[in-house]
Amino acid sequence: MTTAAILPERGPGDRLTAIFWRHPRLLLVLLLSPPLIWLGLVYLGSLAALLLQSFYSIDEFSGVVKEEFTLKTYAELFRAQNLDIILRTVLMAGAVTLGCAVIAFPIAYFAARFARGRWKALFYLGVMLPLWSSYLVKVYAWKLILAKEGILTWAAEHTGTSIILDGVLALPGIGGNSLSTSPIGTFLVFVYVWLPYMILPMQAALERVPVSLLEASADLGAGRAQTFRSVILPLALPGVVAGSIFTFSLTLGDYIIPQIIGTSARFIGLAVYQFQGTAGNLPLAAAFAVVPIAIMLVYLAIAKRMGAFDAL
Amino acid sequence: MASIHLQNIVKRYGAFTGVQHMSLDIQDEEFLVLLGPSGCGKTTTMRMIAGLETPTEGNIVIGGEVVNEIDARDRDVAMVFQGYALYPNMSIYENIRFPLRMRGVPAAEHDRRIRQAADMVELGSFLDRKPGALSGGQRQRVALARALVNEPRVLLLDEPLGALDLKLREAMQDELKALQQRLGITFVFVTHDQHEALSMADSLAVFNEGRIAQIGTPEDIYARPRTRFVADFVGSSNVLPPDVTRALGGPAHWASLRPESLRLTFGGPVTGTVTALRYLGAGSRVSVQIAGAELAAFVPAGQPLPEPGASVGLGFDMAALHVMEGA
Amino acid sequence: MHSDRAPLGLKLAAAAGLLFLHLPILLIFLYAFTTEEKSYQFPPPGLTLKWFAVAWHRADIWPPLWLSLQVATIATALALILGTLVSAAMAQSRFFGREQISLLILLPIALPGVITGMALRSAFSVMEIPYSVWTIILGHATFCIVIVYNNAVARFRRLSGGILEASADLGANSFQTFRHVLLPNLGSALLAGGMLAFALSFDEVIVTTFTAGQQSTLPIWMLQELVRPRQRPVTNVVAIVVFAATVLPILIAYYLTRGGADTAGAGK
Repeated sequence: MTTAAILPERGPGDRLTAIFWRHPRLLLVLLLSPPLIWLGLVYLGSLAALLLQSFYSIDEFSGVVKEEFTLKTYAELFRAQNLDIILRTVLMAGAVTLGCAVIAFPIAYFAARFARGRWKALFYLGVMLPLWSSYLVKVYAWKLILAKEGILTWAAEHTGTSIILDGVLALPGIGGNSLSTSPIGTFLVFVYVWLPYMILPMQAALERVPVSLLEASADLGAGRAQTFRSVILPLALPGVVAGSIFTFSLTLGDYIIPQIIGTSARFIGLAVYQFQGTAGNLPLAAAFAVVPIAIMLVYLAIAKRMGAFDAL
Repeated sequence: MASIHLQNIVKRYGAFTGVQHMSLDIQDEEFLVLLGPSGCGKTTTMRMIAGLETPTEGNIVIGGEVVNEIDARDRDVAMVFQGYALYPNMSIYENIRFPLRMRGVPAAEHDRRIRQAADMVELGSFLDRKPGALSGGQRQRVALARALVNEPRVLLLDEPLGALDLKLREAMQDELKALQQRLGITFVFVTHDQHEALSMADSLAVFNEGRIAQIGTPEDIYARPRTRFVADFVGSSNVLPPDVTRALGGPAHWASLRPESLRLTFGGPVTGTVTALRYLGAGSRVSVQIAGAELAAFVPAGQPLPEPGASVGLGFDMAALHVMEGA
Repeated sequence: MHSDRAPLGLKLAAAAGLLFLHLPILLIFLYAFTTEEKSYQFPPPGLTLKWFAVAWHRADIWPPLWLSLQVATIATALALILGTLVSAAMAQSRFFGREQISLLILLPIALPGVITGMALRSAFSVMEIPYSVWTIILGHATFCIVIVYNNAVARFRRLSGGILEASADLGANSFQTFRHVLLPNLGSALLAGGMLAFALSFDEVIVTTFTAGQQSTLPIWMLQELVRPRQRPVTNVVAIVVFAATVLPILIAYYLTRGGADTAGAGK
């Protein structure tokens, strides 16, 4: 047995290692500083600029941004037409969240409780692919489907259900000339695009429910409906709330879908986009962008109380 | 090869003190076992010897040299980690080769030394597999071969058998002991299993709350525990308060009396009532309520057992009544 | 509920849900072959391959495609570096402010894109930064960090805690540990994270409209075509390209990380 260990020549790498060894915090600081500087400067800095901008106002005559602190711009949010926009967006976000929850449940429940092996992988990919595939392509696909001359109208004609379609379109408030120019169309596309965001947390929450819990309920004499209502639903609720954070927040901020599909009624995102673009009113656009943040903060506070974050 | 001395070591984590003023001398070629409940400082102590933690105060001396300022990789101390810490991306061969590459051992020597190390732990035929394809016991051997391939002065083992089932564990205990005697390397072995500790150690250090409660040979510690904690933690024991010790004929002091030293008798010197019986296979454990305490006596299989509620006498050799210095 | 077989109603509802998620995409493919270019008439009056050739020769498609590739490549590279650094730090130790940092990483993707976009737009305006490729990259890299981070941190968690310590114990220095132990074990997770980040960046439109100024990325080009269609089937051809450019990386990422608790894409 040889005695001393054979050690290679000391290089700069070894010397640095020795320094890290003696000062473990140094390595941590070196690792963290580039990403933190980036996120702090680029992201938090921008959010600060957004807030700052929202406290500026625009000179009504010259159209130039006045860089003085004022609450005038926020006051403008409370004009009737702007309140309309906010209310319409929140209603849509609520409806979309509900729609997503209803459609997502069977998929999430099946995948969590019954799918095994190959089927499990298939369900996983089946949700993951639409989640990640191009947002714009998905929206475009629905433009094709909902168009007046498109596949839905054709299918309705060929199955003799045109009456139903026309009836839905004739509904006041949510109907319209064709699905692609009606609020129903906007709603459908929102549900479609955000659905995977609801399925995944729901499935995660349901997977944590032990099968024995369901069996115990059946064993104790509960029927299917009872088991569903009193056992599965409460246990899935944190997942629903977690998913709803995504569907709600994403709907609040989106401006592409209402621009392409629906009436030309404005939503918060679209208002931000138009005020900063064609209208050139950056302060009002910034103030509008703060609205979803405020709504989401309230929403998150409620969700936190319901224990939604354990399911994320 | 190397003796290890810990001199008045203190390790603090913020306000929490993990190790309190500990001194420990480990002889060259000794098999030392650090035994204690979780959180007692035994693993921290081992990690300080390895160089994975630095002591807040005190010195660590290995082979006559203070190593406080020397990196883990330069201490010539090898460690077998609790989860084995094998590299999942490398074959067994590459895993064992890793320390040779890192320490700049000439490439021409690698193959011979890897095969030698692998043969030592009887892994010769698994060299081209990945760790994921091995059983727990085999992974354990790979970790051992990887730690030994560089012929370290000291081998540290952190609960290395914890994940194995009982049969494999016992086989590995014998193998490790034999290996240590063959190689003549100092082994420091951490465990919370008292049977493992008693059967393997040359020298046994019992840890409690960041201090060494007692250090000595396993026989010494089993027969003459110094504190109530040691008596209780190593083996099972009847720990007697001072008045009971005096009632049994000893001085007014805490004492320990092992169940196997107690016999059931008819009458005197002490009598009591049987409260419970527990069958243990090799015999039974009989709980007897006497004045001021409940004592457990071990009755080997084949001997008659009393009924619960029966009145029995208890006999023992005065030499078996061990009076403790500590409280 | 007692049995391990799903009730028929549930099976049908789940299948219908999955079809709902996938069928619409197929239409994109169909309409790329239609002979009708002025409307979305169904069924298509005839089928033709000519739109692929038309798209190939349309000069206005190539610059946006090139810009998108450029942005996605650089943004992914930046996100890989920053995301790996932060995940290494987070996996290595617990320290004060850990929770806040993980929230900060998540925020750019958790808040609606319009906020991130508008925030960047405000910052450019306040600091008088002119639009360029780099203003787009700035935004993309910011929301791609979390994608790389999620993948890398999950892999770190799966690696046995001792392997880095073991490597120091066996004589490797920090750089050797990085090269021989960390990188090979982290490699596929980073590749997967990079793929997903690329897909996300290549397809992003919401933030980009705020940070691009007059420049056009491929999604912006598509958006303009959606609002004011010219040759509709050409848009479909481009949509197929965009779809492929996002789906292929996702499939690769899934393949690279499947079978583990850290399967790619679980959080977007």
